[in-house]
Parts: sequence; structure tokens; C-alpha cells
Amino acid sequence: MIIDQEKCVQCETCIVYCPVQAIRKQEGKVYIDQDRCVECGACLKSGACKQGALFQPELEWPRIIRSQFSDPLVPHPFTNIMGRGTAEMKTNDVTARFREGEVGFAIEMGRPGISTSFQDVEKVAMTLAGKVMFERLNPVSILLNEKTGELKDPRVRKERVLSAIIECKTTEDKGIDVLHTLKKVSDEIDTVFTLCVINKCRDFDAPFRLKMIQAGFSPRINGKTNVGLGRPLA
Amino acid sequence: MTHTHHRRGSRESLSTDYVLLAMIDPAVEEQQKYRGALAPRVKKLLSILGRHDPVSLAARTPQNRLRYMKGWEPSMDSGIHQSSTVNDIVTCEDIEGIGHAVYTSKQSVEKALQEIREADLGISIVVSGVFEEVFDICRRTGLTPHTVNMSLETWGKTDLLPKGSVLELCTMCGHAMISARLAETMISQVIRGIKTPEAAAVELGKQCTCNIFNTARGAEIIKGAAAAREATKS
Repeated sequence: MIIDQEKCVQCETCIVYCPVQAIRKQEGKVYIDQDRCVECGACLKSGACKQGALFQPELEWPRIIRSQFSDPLVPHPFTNIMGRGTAEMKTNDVTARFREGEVGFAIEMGRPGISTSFQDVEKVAMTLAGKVMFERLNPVSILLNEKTGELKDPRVRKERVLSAIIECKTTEDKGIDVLHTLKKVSDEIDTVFTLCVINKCRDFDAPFRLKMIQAGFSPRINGKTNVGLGRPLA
Repeated sequence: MTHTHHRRGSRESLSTDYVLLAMIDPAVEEQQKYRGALAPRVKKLLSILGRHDPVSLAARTPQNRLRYMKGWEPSMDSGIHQSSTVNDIVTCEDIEGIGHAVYTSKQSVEKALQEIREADLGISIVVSGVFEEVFDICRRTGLTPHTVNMSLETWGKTDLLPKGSVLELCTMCGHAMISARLAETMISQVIRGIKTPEAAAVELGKQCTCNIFNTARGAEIIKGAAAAREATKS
């Protein structure tokens, strides 16, 4: 996103709509820090600029990754869905993507609202490589070497996005090790990630929830429940 | 429409916040064809979701998103954010995607799930909320939780995150389209009497293009934050 300085009247109204604080005022001019901007389009969509000064130029590779991962209204060209991840557990009742004895993880890099570089995404992915099975339908996975977690195109490293979700799974007996690995790498990144743990239910509970508590992790009281109404059941 | 399970807040506040997501897996043809064409099933689903007093309801047409949020009047429309009524959504003949709704009461969710179950639509349903409450709803409606997605909170440089009520407001948009500075601005405008808490909540909710923001809960959080800041001043 850029600001057309010919049209901008320096009213500063757009500044507060930017989720990553990329719109700034310096030396009397409102401008967008292009390194910081994740091309989510929130400022333009808000209608805050009455002068039509906000302008979305056509993006090229690798910068186009920013809008693919940051703008929820842009369908990802690989998944063709508006979300940034996959259907994960939302349709697990019909897909059986996560079976009994398995545990899924979604590492939501940059969320909530901090943003992330792909350098940090790569760092986490490389730490997980070999310990988990990456979700092949996920838009981050297609950018990675499945065996090493390295980005296939190093130019992507510098790109910054509002969020990028690493989706993977392993077996319940290896799940706690994965959490310890994530704990360690979380100290080495320059952003945050929010962590999702997916588990098939048994007797109105999730078996892995208890394992996490026993290992010293604290799942939140709220979360998502697939209530099993999808048909045909897998 | 995802990431609803990272909503922050006290148990009391989260107990007034339920997101019901409906989904058909793009890769499961049998689900798309279950008991006939998908369109009439989606229409039926939306009519059920619409009659149990949602605070938000959304569906997608090939052209745009139809978005209802309690308190959102057409005079508040801006940019791409255009309001719809519940009736606009449930009577639309051109729905493409599957819908989702937000409720403030457990009873509404229970009634909606009961009707969806009886209608046997074959559509996967995910309920976001406090697990204990959602599992209780499942028991009362004869449903068995299939899979859960738990949150282990945010790891890494968490000092970058906004705090308290601002974080609670921002995390009601899973894609992080609500900036912390906009949330601060809305609280400040309520303190100065420029906006009501309800109108401030709508301004925040509009930025969440997936339309999963809970305007009723948002207004309560803003009210509480404004009162707390006023109390600190005096």
C-alpha cells in the first residue's frame, strides 16, 4: 500500500487503522513504511481516507506473498480459500485428518497482530522438521523444503506478513517433545506465535489435554469444538 | 473465520461469546452431495442460525459478503464495510460459501444446534467458546464432541502484545484486522462522549471482514475499559 502524496491532506485518520503501525507521520508527511507494511489492505478497506490517497499497487513476487498471507479477502492461489490455513479440525468429522492417537499443531506465527518475517517462520519450521509431518495442503508448507523446513526460495525470507500458520501433526506420545521444542525456539524469534493443539475427543475430553497439563502446559479454558454433525462421518 | 479459540478475557466475559462456524470440506465430494444439493441445505442452515438472536451473522455470495452485526446501521457503513440485515442473509438466493454466527447466550447455541441436528444437513459445525459450556450444550442436545482445537496462548516476544481490554477487543478478529490503536481510539472516544460503547464496538467489528466480532461483548469491554480509566484519573 502506498499513499499518493498529491492527494493526501495529512489528516492522519488512516493511521489508527493499520494493524501493524506501518502508517507513520514524519517531517509533516504521512507515509507507509514499506518494510513494515504487510499489504493486508485494512487501511484501504476501512474507508478512512476520504481523499482517495491510499493506493494498492500491483504486487510482484516475492512481495505478493504479503497480501496472500495478510489479506483475508484474497484467496490463496494454492488453497483457493480465503483463510490462511486449511480446514484443519473444522471438518475432521468427515476427513479424519486427525485420528485417535494423533495430535495436530497450528503455530500461528505473528498472531495476534504483531506480524512476522518469513525468516522467523523458517526458523520455527527448521526446528520442527523431522519431528512432525507438515500439512501438505497448507500455504506455508508449499514454500518449505519438507525435509529440512528451509524456504525453497531464499528471497521470501525478507517478506513480512500479518500471520503465517505452520500446520503439522505427530503422534500423542511425541507431542510433548514437540511442545518443548517450540518452547525453546520461541525464545529465539523476533515475534510471537499463538499455539493451537488439535486432538480427537474421547469420552467428552481430549486425551492429550491431560498429558499437556501433566507436562506443565496450560491449555486455555476456551477453544473450538467440532460437534460431529458433518456427514458422511469418516 | 478461524482463530476464534484465541479470544481473550475472563471466564465470565467469554461465557457470553459463542461462535458457530459451518463448513463443507472442499475435498470431500460425498459431503457436498449429502442428501442432495448443497444450496438448499445452506439456506436451511442460515435460517436456523438467523432465528436464534445472533449478534453477528455472515454468508458469502459470488459478489460480496453479507454481514449482519447487532447495532450496525447503514449510516455507519464505510469503505468496503456494508451492513446487511438478518433477513437479507436468510432470504438471499445466491449464497456461495457457508455461514457463521455469533451468539451471546448458551441457550441460543443450544437451540440452534438442536435444530441443525434434527435437520441432518451433513454440514460440519464447529462451536468456539468455553469448553465446559460447549460440552454441556453437546450433552443437552445429544451431540458428542468429535475433535477439539485447544489454545496454548501466545509464546515468544509477548511483551509486544497489547494488554488487557485492548487485547480482548483485538482478539475478537482472528485475522488481526483490528489494530490496537483503533481499539485505544474507540475507548478514548467513549470516554470523551464522542461515541457510545455500542457504536465504538461496531466500528471495531466492521474491520473484521469475516464478521465474527461480538459487538455486545465488545461494547461491554469498552464500557469497562472506559470506566476503569476514568476511575484512575479521579
